[in-house]
Amino acid sequence: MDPRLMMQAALDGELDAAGAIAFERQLADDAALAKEFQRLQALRRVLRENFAGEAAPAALRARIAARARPARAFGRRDAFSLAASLALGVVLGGGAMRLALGERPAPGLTDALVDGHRRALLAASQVDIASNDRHNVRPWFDAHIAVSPPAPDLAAQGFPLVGGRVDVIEGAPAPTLVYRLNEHTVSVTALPAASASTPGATPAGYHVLAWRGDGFSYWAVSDADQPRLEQFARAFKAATDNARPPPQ
Amino acid sequence: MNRDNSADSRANERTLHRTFDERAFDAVVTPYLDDAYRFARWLTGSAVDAEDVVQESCLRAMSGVGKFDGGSPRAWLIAIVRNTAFTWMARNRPRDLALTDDLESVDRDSSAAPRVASPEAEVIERADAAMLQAAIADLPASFRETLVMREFNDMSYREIAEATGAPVGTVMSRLARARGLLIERLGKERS
Repeated sequence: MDPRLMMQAALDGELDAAGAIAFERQLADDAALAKEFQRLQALRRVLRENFAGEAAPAALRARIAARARPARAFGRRDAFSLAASLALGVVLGGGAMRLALGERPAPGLTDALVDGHRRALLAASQVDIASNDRHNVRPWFDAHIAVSPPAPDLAAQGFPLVGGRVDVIEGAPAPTLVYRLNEHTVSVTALPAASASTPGATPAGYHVLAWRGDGFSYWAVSDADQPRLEQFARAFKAATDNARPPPQ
Repeated sequence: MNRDNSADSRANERTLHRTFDERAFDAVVTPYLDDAYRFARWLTGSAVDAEDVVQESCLRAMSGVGKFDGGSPRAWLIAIVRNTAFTWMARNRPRDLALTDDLESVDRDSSAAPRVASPEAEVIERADAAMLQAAIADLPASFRETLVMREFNDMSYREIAEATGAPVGTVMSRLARARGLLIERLGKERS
């Protein structure tokens, strides 16, 4: 074999025992070859030192994991119960829907939601589907995680839709809508209505608001100030209330 | 203790209900996600683009996991990332792809001896990350991908051959050429 090719195989540990012995003999006999082999070893060392293995970003891993496990805790069946609770909501009317401003969520859940929001801010794209058209976002959620929360168009109120993404909350994929509030971003995650909403501390710099409606419990996370976020939450709630079929 | 038990039974339930595709995906894709990302980073030269490429690759891998027919799962996933990166580059950065080299002519003179006096090993070891990165980026694409698979993904010649579809002998000669070019360039920059 061409000694230069042989050197690659030796460097990469691809020679068998007999080949390795033959190569060692060659190296011992040929000073130029030995020098060349030292250069290759030096290159190997300098490459490994400078480029330690980089791991895939955690957010990327989470996104892919969410796609691999579609609709685990939140499946087609929930879509039916959602339809059922929607019907119930119609009967009960708006009175049953409480905008729980100021109600603060459980600590673990708040952290998970804020983490999801932060990760998205850091990621290449805050959304998995970028669209200001709710007619694109809802089918996308339906196709990916078999659940599609209402995605009201709030552009007229000053909160344009940016898109949607899938967060992983308490081990289950959760649809999250992303809106813009001036220079801020708000993430609205729709969780099954059964999710608790007990007080919890919010990390400094973030505000979290929770309300219920349409069989979901909505959680808005943003670094916008509290009054602005409340304004957004009211607009969102009003729009989803109006979108429901009128009571009979 | 109660908590542990219920966590266990929940985990069992999850295992029981996992579909074939999910298990296959966990076996073939999840362990090699870091490899896929690392490879895509070198191929696209950008962390942002690498994320896009890897995500798309994993979706493809997920839908095609039934087609995996043994061999090295890492080579299989890297091959998907490689194809996805090509189409992704063609769609989003066609200009960079226009530089694609003539593989045959590149491979043909693969055993050519170095033309200039070679640097001492100590000179090579003084190269810094930026210099190495630029030198690797300038390699012809077929050399670069082979080098990256070998040095940064720690793939065997057989795995690289599987992922690229080139014979093992070609893998070896591409590595020889890639390393020769890097050494030559580092010697020039440091002298």
